[in-house]
Amino acid sequence: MIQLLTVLLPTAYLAVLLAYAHDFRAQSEDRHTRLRRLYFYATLALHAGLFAAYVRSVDGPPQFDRLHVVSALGLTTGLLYALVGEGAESTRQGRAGVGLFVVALVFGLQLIASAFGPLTVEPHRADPTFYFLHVGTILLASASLALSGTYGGLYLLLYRQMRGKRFGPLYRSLPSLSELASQMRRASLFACVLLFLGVNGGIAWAHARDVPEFSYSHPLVLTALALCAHFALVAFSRHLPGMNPRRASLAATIGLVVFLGSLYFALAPGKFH
Amino acid sequence: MTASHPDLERQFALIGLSHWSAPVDMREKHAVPGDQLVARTRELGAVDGVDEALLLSTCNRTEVLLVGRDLSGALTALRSGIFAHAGPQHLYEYRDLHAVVHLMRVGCGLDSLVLGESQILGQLRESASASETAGTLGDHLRPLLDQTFALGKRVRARTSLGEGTLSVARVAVDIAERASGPLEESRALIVGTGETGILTARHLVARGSRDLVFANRTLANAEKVTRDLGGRAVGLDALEREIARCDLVAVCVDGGRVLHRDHFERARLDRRDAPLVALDLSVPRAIDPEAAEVDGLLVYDLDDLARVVAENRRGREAATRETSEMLLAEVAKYLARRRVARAAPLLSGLGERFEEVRSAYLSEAGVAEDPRARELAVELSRRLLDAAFGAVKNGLRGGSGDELLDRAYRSYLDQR
Repeated sequence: MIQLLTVLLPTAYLAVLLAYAHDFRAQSEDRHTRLRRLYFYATLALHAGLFAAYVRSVDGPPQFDRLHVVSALGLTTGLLYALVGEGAESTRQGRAGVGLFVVALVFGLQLIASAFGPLTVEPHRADPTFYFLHVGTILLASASLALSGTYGGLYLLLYRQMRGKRFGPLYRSLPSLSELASQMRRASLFACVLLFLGVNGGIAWAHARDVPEFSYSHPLVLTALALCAHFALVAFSRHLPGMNPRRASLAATIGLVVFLGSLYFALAPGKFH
Repeated sequence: MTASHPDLERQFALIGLSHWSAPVDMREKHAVPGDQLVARTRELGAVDGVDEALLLSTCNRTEVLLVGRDLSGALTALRSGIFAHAGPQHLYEYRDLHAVVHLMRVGCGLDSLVLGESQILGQLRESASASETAGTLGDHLRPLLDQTFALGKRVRARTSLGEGTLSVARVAVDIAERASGPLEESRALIVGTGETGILTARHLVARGSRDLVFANRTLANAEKVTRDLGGRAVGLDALEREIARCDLVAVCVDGGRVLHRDHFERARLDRRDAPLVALDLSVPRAIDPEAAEVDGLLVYDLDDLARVVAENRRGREAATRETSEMLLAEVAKYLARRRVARAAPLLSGLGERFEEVRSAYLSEAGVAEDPRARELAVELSRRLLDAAFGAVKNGLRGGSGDELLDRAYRSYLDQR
């Protein structure tokens, strides 16, 4: 089951991406527009099924490889967008223009995870309740961060198009600049609060269990705290002098790149399936 | 020029008036309320010479499509009946292929006030449903309407017909909405009382904008506009204060620069959720071009807006050409179906004749009672018949060439 889902998921996400690409070009809703949500939800369910299979394979919380984390990040980002972001956007704008880019990100993450990640997991020694709380919080924070960076990047693209007086597909299909800025700040706030809770929860657990590998200077801890502060700046940019939406969007996009980069440099090479 | 076609074995006639031919008070007199649609359609079907009838009535058109063997009497009755209030200058008539083409054009939205609008398809469905209830839909109109609906859906899904506005003022409002979001929540400052500026204000109001400020050198002129469109009037001395608060500035004045770079720099645009959109609708330009360099400000002049309109127009022209090609193909398909339908009784008769000949031959050969021989003969003749009828039907569908159809379409367009 794990192997089947690992191979199937990139193809499934590619089909979703093509459905969203069709909708991005389409003027009015048609059968494909109505079905794209169904494709997306079904693929997310399959993806969740993969992680359920991991948990079942070790009868408890699994010890994830970093590429499993990449896959989990994709799943959580997709879920968060599907449950919260897309609904809000469609109501206001009539189409999920951002969806194409979110699905592309999720597809990219899963493709990397499926191509290079291991098929097996080891059991984790952590208390299951703590594990799911800590990992869940960090994953939700990371997904919010990813969405914030996506909204920020799209703000910059659309702003650049409008400033250059070009009114192409991005202009027609994305939400307004105001909406993109607002969603970016909202996602940033969510990210920094959850990241703060998740990191401190992890630190508290490490102290309580006297975990020998833990250190405040551990790269993951430092990066997490730095990202937390960075996205707090984005979340409260409206109240900070000199931080207009364009600069905040730039900060959010850079934050996303740094975050993805930090995952990349932590990756261990694996076999191509 | 005649629009008859050998594959239309009945006469088709369409008579009506629309926003192209009649003013709104004339159209009002001929509008048919929804609850009377079935009854009025039934009356049409009862007219001498009419076999099938369709009545389409919307705020922009009232049209009757009839099918029958001889419709001249029916058309005379309609001119003095349902269209009694309309003069000859208000009515148009299309016969045969022109009527078929017109119906499909209406279904595609090519004849609509707003090119490509989709509401007409729903209205046509209601008329078809009324005709079905009234019992005036038959073998000619039913497939024609089915094809019209399918074509209408396909055109809207595959072409960009109806996309893109052709009005500078509307493009300006679209850009403002794309920057700052729903217009109900934004504030607009209109500087000057020029025509394009006022038109932009009207579009803003139509799209829900409630917070308008009109600034003019002469306060009384600005106040005059507020009596019509609502909002507040201010003098030009309040410009800087109002710019700092608004999401959109539209400037339409005579005689030189009104807004300079420092007006916008002092407005502290970096504090906003979205860039300020400044529309320079003046000739000569009223906003200093250097202002475009201010961070958080998007400036568009008439040339920029006209470029968008020109691009939209090119898109629509291309979509109209593409739609016309799809429409002609659909009409050709309809004619092919009529050909096959006309040949159906002949083919059916031929099938019966083949069976008679087969039975007679088997009897002559003395094997009529042999089950194996009979089975072989039946199977062989069935296969031969299927092959022959298939070839005949394909030949009928292939048609008698597109020239007649092309000529009829061109002559239809010439009449409009």
